[in-house]
Parts: sequence; structure tokens; C-alpha cells
Amino acid sequence: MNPDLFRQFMLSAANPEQRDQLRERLIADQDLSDQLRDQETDWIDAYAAGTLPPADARALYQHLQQTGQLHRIPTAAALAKRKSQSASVFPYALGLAATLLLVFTAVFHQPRSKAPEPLPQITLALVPGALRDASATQSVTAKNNQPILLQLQYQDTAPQGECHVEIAGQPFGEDAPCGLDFHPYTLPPDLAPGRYTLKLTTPKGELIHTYQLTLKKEVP
Amino acid sequence: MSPQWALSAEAFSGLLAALHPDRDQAALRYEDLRTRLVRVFLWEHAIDPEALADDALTRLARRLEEGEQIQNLPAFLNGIARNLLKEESNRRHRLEPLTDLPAPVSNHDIEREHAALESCLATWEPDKRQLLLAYYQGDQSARIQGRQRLAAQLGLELNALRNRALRLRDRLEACIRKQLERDIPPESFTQFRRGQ
Repeated sequence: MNPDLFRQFMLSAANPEQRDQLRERLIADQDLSDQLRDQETDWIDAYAAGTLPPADARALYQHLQQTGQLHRIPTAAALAKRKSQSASVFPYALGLAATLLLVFTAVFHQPRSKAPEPLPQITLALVPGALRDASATQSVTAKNNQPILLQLQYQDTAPQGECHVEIAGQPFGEDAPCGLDFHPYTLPPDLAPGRYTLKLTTPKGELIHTYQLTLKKEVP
Repeated sequence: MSPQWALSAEAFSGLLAALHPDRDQAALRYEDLRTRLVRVFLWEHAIDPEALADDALTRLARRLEEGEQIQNLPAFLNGIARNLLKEESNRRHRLEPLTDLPAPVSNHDIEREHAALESCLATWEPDKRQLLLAYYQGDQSARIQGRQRLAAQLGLELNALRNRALRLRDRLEACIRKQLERDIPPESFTQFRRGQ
């Protein structure tokens, strides 16, 4: 099996002769047709899980758009969510008795129960505008609900007054005074993995800068 | 070819006979061939791949009925496919190059999709549910080995396992799509599907 068959197929769109030959093979050979469909599905699953490199994610999305297959993404996303949940259930089940024992012991040996340790904050400086090339998009990997502080860098001078942040065209968070060297912005903790465009604007909606960010979530 | 020509029972029988002398085997081959044609037209960005696949098979049946001696069926069908694609090239999806990925899916949507998945899987026979979940387990690199192990456990060739899993996946996607369409007005769903 050719592991890059799907990539080759997408690239072959630019070469009509090669495309024609491949089309004939796809009509003739059930296994080849299944392999291509299988790899296409695996790409969709990787896209939904947020593990596809940004350039591939963009190529795949365009392919799905052009072939009228965007409706396949929700199934992949639901399977990815199910997978991450079941991956986290098993260790919990194994450790359940031990955890209960520890909690029971703690109740009798400590005057107060301890709250779970908060996850450490991740800080990332984001450079504006120029990084529109998907391969150069900055990315961050975090655990679920782990706080991520973005330092939205300015191109030259700091803007005056209040700053407003939009993610993928939607406002997130309150307007806040623009920082001196960068604008500090904490990402919503429940933001799903994916590639995002952030806009820094004035409260009136005048664009200051745009930023690209790929968010990945660590599977527990 | 005249657009008025319709596929008769005799022409269809002739097409089946060209695929296999045994009628049951021929019917299976016809279904597989049609699936491959639908995929080819889909991957070539056709607006209605199912209709084009049926058109291609109808044209093939007509040529057979007219006494055409076909030495290489895939090459002949590819010629028909090429013509059909040319004929409808103006209707095909034309999109500007993508500069950015779409807005993220909200948590509400993720929950809704997950609920649809569980609801669909709950109606399946346990062995089919397990096969689908096992086949699509792990990330891309882990999947290859996992599928080889699964094929060995089930006593199947990898190709046969893949074919079975793809059919289940198609069935699951159709079920989830139906569930989600119940909640979303049809106009918005069409926009989402076509990405317009």
C-alpha cells in the first residue's frame, strides 16, 4: 500500500495526463479505490483531531470543499472526541480503588482536603501579520483547561486606549487597556483545537493586527 | 449520444453479462463498479457524482447493445467519464484558493456531534460497532499496525477489512448527517456542506 497515495492524488490535479491515468486505475481496481478512500478518511480524522500539519490541513479542507464532502468532518470530530474520552477513562478505572483509598486516608490524616494543583500557565509571544504562510504558523500544545496567555506583539508602536480581540471573527473576552510592549490576552480555556485567526482591533472595530495560531490539545 | 435514450431491461442485462457470466456475481461487480465511478466523479469535483456514475453506466450499456467490442473496460469507461466531465465542466465547483481555515466549531456543536455519534452507534450490532471503533483507533501511524493486528484477529485479508470498515464508516456518516440535519435548517446545512 502506498502511504502517500492521497497526497499524490491531490497533487495530480495539476497534471491532466497523470490524473487521467490515475482515474483509469481507480475505475479498474477496487483495492486502489478503497485505499484512496481510506487515506482520505484518515486525513479527515487527523484534521478533526488537530494533528494534521497546517499546510496539509488547508489542502485537505480545500479538497473537501471542492468535492462537497465537508459534511464528513463532524463524524471525524465526534470519533476524535470519543477516542480522547475513552483514553482517559481506562487509567481512571484502574486507579479508582487506589484513589478512593488515598482520599479516605487523606480525610483522616489531614485537617483540610487539598484542592487539585492548577495547571501551569503557558505564555506565548505571537508575531502579527506577516506569518500568513501556513507552514510558519505558530502553534501551542496545551492540556484541557490549561491557561494560555498570549502576548500579542505590535508591529511598531503600541496602540493607545483599549484593545479588543476576536477569534475567527467572534469577540472573546472583555476590552482591556492595550499593553505597552504587547497586548496580553488569555485564550478561552475551552477553545477547541484548530487553526485560528486572531484580530486585535480598537473597541470601534478598527483593525490593529491579525495573528495566526494553531492550538493543539494534549490527550490525557 | 441521444439524451432520449433510456436504459432498457435488455440493455442492462447485456451490461451485467459483460461484467460476469453469473448474474449474481455480475450484480456484485456492477455495484462495486458503480461505487468506484461515484468516487471518481466525486474526486473530480462533480456536482452530482451519483448521477454521473449512472450516466456513465447507461452509456456503456448502450454501446454494448450497439455491438461495440470492448477490449479494455476500465479504459473505455474512463473515456466515457472524461467526456461526461468535459460536458459538465462549467457546472463543477469553482472555488478561490483557500487562504484561511474556517471558524472553529463551538463546544455546543462538538457536544451535538458526539451525541449524534453515540445515538447512531447505539443502534448497531455490537460486532459492527467494535469493528468500526477498532479500525479507526489511534493516530495515523498507529493505525497501520492496529489494522494489521485486527485483520489477523478476524481472519481477514487487510483489503477485505478495509472494504468492510469503509462501508461501516459510510453508514455512520450518513446516520450522523441525518441526525444533525434534523437540528439544522436545510439551507444552512447546504451552505456548510458546500463550504460557500
